[in-house]
Amino acid sequence: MKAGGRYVVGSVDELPPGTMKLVPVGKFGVGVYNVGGELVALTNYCPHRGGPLCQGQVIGWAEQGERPWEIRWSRPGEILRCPWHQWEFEIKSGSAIIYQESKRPYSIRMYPVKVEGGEVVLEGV
Amino acid sequence: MAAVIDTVVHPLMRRNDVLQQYMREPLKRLFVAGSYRSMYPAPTGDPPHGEFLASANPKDAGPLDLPGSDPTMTLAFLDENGLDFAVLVPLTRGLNASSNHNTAICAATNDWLTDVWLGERAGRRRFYGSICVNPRDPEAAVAEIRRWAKNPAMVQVVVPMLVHTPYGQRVYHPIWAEAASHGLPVAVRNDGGSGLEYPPTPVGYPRFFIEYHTLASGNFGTHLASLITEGVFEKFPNLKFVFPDGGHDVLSHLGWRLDTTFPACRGETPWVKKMPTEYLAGHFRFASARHERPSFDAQGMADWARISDAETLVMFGSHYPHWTVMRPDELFPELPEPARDRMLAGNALDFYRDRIGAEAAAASR
Repeated sequence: MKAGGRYVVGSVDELPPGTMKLVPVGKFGVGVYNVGGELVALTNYCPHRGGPLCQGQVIGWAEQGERPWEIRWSRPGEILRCPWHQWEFEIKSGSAIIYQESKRPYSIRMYPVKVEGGEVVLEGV
Repeated sequence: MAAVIDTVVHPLMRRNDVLQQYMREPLKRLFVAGSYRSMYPAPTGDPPHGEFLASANPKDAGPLDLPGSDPTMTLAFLDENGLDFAVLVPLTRGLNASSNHNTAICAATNDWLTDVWLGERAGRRRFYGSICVNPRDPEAAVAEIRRWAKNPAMVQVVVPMLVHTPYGQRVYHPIWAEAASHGLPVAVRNDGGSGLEYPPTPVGYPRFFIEYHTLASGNFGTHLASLITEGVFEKFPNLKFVFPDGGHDVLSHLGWRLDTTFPACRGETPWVKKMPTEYLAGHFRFASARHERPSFDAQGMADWARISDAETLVMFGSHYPHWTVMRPDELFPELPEPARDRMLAGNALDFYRDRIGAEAAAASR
């Protein structure tokens, strides 16, 4: 498929919130995620060591609680964990969260995605 | 260059029984292991027992007198080597089984240090002290820190390396909170000999002194990993640790491991807010040690210093009168002057800045 082209992922009804679909686009494939109604398309290639990112679990974010050593689970469904080295990425931004503040941030290559006439369409592929 | 600081000098008592003179009844009647009770005797042959320089024996020393116990001789060492002042790090034989006794030994050591060593010398302060505390009794340790916190000659708290629980854990936090509130860094010292400590390596007792000497200071890694992963520096942002026995040469690979494992395990310790090695520069220092350096050429040493961030993390420590004594000209002689100046002076002045003010540092020249 030519660069700059479009790819029809499927009907929007097939991709309700909390689901994803891996489509054969580009060298590695692209995972299209519906995060709480927002569509996000991520390359199936981890920017850390090239793992098949979109085979990873969609999880939440463990954060510090109020009491000593309390761990709170927040943002369920918003975090993608790479199956190779367990790096955690924010799906909506495509970035490795713990590196967001560092001098060497890691970001997943993303594609624009939109809904046209009831179909989910990837652009720039 | 600013004042040159020796961050590790060992003050010894004139005789072991001096300690009891600073203790009260009834604990002063209890036996305390003497200063020669080291776990592995050093095979140097230096009289009387190999652990300390023969030249540090007091003049006309009797059989019970200890090397390194005469402050004027230690001052002479500082003067000969262009050292403006020194941080004294006494030994208390590590953990003593009777915890109240241990607390009393620490308090007596602090009183003795103040009495014998910490006065001004010819109108200047040349020696700064360490507050010995018993980490097995955090409440008593906090009280002991409070007893000394206003004494301007005391510049850090010292606890033994070989304890039963790594130092990041919650049981110790009251001690760290107290130290941090007074701007006192914490020195973790390879002190032992009372018999209560674990083996000097995690796998047991080696057979030879060289194994002990090579491996013992590396125990800092357990405490460093614990302090970082338990989130201690997020809880106490101005808390700082120094390892007077060194270990900087084995720090790098430990840091690499922490950093490469952390992204996979972050959810286990969400109180850690940045990459583990990003806590090093703000919270850890290592004293220099003569037996830790690679044998590279000058370019290799410069590369090694850059990779291991020696210019930031190392502070000069002579270890006088220990047999491993190191002189300032032995500290990374291959590096340019600005880098050496930081390790000889700047790093320590910055590390102790809440205790040794700029005026005091200038006055001690």
